[in-house]
Amino acid sequence: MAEQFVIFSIGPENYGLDVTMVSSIERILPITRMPYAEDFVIGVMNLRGDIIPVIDMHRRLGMDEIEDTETSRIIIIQYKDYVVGLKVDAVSNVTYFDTDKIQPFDEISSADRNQYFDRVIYDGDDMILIPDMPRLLNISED
Amino acid sequence: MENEQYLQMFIEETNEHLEAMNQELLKLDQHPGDIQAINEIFRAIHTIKGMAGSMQFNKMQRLAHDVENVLDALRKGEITATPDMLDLLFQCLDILQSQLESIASSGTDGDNDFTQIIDKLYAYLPANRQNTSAVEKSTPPSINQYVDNVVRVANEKGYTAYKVHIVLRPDCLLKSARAYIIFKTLEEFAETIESVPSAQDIENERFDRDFTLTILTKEPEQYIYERINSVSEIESVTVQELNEIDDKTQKTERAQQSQQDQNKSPSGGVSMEQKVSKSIRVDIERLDDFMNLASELIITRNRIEGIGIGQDNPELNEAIEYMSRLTSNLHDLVMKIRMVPIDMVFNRFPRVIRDLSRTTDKKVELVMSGNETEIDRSIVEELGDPLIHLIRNAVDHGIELPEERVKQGKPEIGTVEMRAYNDGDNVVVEVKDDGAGIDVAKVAGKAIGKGLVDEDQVKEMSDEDIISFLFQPGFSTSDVITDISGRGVGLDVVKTKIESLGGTVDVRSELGKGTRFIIRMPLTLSIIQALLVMVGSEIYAIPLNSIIEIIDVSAADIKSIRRQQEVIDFRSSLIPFVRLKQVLNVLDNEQDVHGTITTVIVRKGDKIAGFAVDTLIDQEDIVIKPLGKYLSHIKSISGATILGNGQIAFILDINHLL
Repeated sequence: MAEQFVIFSIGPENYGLDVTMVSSIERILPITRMPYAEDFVIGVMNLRGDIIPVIDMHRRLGMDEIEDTETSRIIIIQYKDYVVGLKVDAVSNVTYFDTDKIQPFDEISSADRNQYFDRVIYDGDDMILIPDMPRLLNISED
Repeated sequence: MENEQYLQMFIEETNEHLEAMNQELLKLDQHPGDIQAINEIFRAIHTIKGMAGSMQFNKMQRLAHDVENVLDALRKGEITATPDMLDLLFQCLDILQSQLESIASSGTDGDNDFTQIIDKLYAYLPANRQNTSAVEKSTPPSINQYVDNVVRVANEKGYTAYKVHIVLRPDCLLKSARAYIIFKTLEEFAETIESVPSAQDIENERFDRDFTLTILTKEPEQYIYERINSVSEIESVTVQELNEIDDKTQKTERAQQSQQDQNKSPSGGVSMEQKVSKSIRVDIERLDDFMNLASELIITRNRIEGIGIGQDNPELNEAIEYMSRLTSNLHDLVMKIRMVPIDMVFNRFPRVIRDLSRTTDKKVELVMSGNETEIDRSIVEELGDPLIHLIRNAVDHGIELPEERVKQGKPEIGTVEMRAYNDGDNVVVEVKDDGAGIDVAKVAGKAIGKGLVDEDQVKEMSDEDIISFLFQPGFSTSDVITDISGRGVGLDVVKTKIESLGGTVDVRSELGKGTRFIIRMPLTLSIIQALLVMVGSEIYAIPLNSIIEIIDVSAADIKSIRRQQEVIDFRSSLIPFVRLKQVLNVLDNEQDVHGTITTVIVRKGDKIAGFAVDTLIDQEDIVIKPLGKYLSHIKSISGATILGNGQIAFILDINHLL
C-alpha cells in the first residue's frame, strides 16, 4: 500500500498534502485583503470566478513573511466543505510513499508550529511533515 | 451508480405521491365520505409501497402496506373514516415523509421502530383483516425480487426489459476489454440492471466466453441486436424480452389498479388533474451552474463595456450594446427558469391550519389566493418556516374561541387569509386574520417595562412604530402579551429570516378586527444593485436598497457622545456616524481630509446610520458570489462580487455593521 502526496516547501522544510485533498496548484494571483478575517488569512482571490480564501503558510507557521518568488504557488485544497488556498514557497513534486514509511508525529518540540502536524514521512535524510487539517485551518472538527 | 439513479427517481416520485396523499387526506377530512379521495389515497400509498419494495426499503414498505390495508377497508366500506383515524393517517404520512428524508440523506431505511403505529393501524381494521396482515409480516425479498421489482417499475414508465446473452469468439484476446466495450455501447441507449457473472467478475476476466445481462431500454429488440453485433470479436448475441413477473399477488394488485384506471376515465371528473404539461425535470444543481455561467457572462460584459468606453469606435460600441442586451435577456431567462409557483409552500398550510384548529378548539378557515405567483426556488424554500410561524401566531393568538367570536358579533368561524402577488420587482405575501388584533397599549406598556422607551417617547410614537417593538428579540414572550405571542418563539426570528433573504416585514393591526403581516421579497437573489465606494485603497459594495441618500458632512458637524460614538444630525435626528475606514481596519497612510466627508446614509429596519467613505465610484448591477464555508463566520461581509477588471469587492452587510 502506498499513499500519494503533493510535496511543497516553506522556508528550508518540506511538507506533504494528501493528493486527494488537492484540487489544483495555481501561480500567485492578486489577493484582496478581507476585513475581520484571522491574521493568517491574507485575503481572498478570484479563481476563475470563485472566491477563495488564501492562507499564508509563513504566517500560519509563525515564520517571517517573504516576498513572492517565481516558484511561489497557491495550493487549492478542499477539506470537507472547506475550500482554501495555501500559499507556499514552492511545489516540488507529487510522490508515492509506502504506508509503512508514514509515521505518527507527536514530537513535543520547542517549535509551536509542530502542533499543526500529525504525521511524518522519513525519506532518507529528509523529513516531510503532514498537516492535521482541522488544526492547520483552525476549524472545529464536526 | 445505477442504484443512485433509481434512488433519486424513487425519492422524487415518492415525494409526489406523499404530497398527493396529503391533499387527498385534507379533502377526506372535510368530507369524510369522499370515496374519490379514498381511492386516490389508496392509489398513492399503493404506489409508494411498490416503489419502496423495489428499492428494498422494507420498513417503509411495511408501513405503507398497513396504511394501504386501512385504506382498502375504507374503500370497501368495511370501516368509516373518523377524525381520530385521520389524525393517525396524517401521522403515518409524517412518518413516511421523515422516513423518506432519512433515506434521501443516508440512503438507508434507518432503524426506526414502527410497531407502535402499525399496531394502532391494526386497531382500525375489521377482525377478519387483522390476521391477513399479520401473515405477511416477514417476507425477506430475494435478489431476484429486486430485479423483478425494478423491471416492474420500469415497465410502468414505458421501458422494456430484455435478457441479452453474449458469446465472445474463442480467439478473443482481451475478453474484459471487449466486454467493457459492450457495456459502453449499451450505456448509450439502455440501463444494465443485472449481470451474470457480476460486472466485477467480468472486469477481472473471471468468466469463460459468455455472459448474460438484463437491460432496460425503450429501443426495440432488433436495434439492441444490431448495436451489440457491431462490436467485433463477438460470436453470437441473443436478445429476449423478459416476461412479466409471475408473482401472483403482484399481478392481482396490478389488475386492481388497472381496473381503477378504467373506472376513472369515463367518469370525467378527475381527468382534469391529469393535464399533460410539456416539462422536464432538471437537477437544481445544473440550474445553479447555468445561472453561475450567465452571471460570469455579465461580469465579462461589464468588463468589455469598460474597455469600449475608452475607445471611440462606434462599431465596437454597437456590438457591445447588443451583447449587453443579450446577456440581460439571458439572465432574465435563467431567472425565470428557476422560478417556481409559491404554491410549493402554500400547499403545506391547509394541514397546518387543520392541526392547529384541532389542538386549539378554534374554528378556522384558510383562504389562499395567488398560489401561482412565481418566485425564485431558493427563496421559496426559505419562506416556509417564517410563514408557518405567522400562521401559528394568527390561529393561536389572533383568532378567538368560537363562543368569544359569537359574543363579539363575529362569524363563528375565523378566517386566515394568505395572499401572494407581484408588485414590481417584489413578491408580496400577506398573512391576515380576522381575530383580536394587537393591543397597542399593551405592547407600549411592555416596551416601557423593558426599558426600550419611556412614557413620553411612547406618546409621540405612531401605532405602527409601537407594534414594531414586537420584532425586538425576546420581546414577544407569552407571559405578558398573550394576544400575539408565539410559544416562546419571537417574531424577531421571522424578521431576521426574511431580512436575510433581502425582504421586509410590516404589520397592520386593528384592535378587535384583526392583524395583517405583509412580507415583501425580492424576486431573485443573486444579482443586486449596489453602490461601489472607495475606502482607502479598497472597494466595497453597499446594496442600493439599503441606501437612503448620500450627503456631504463637514467635519465640524460631527459630534461625539461620551467620546465613543460619533453622531451627525440627519433630518433633525442624531444618527451614528460610522467611519468605514476604521470599522473595516483599512490601512491607509493618508490623513483624514478636512472639509467635507462623503457620507452614505443607510437604513436597515428602523436603524439608520451614516457611513463615511472616501469616494463614490459607481452604481452597478453586481453578481453576488458566496464567500464559502471557511469565511462564513464573518457576518459583516455578506458576500463578494467580481468587478469588470477581475478585482474582488466585498458586499457590506448593513445589518451587522449597525
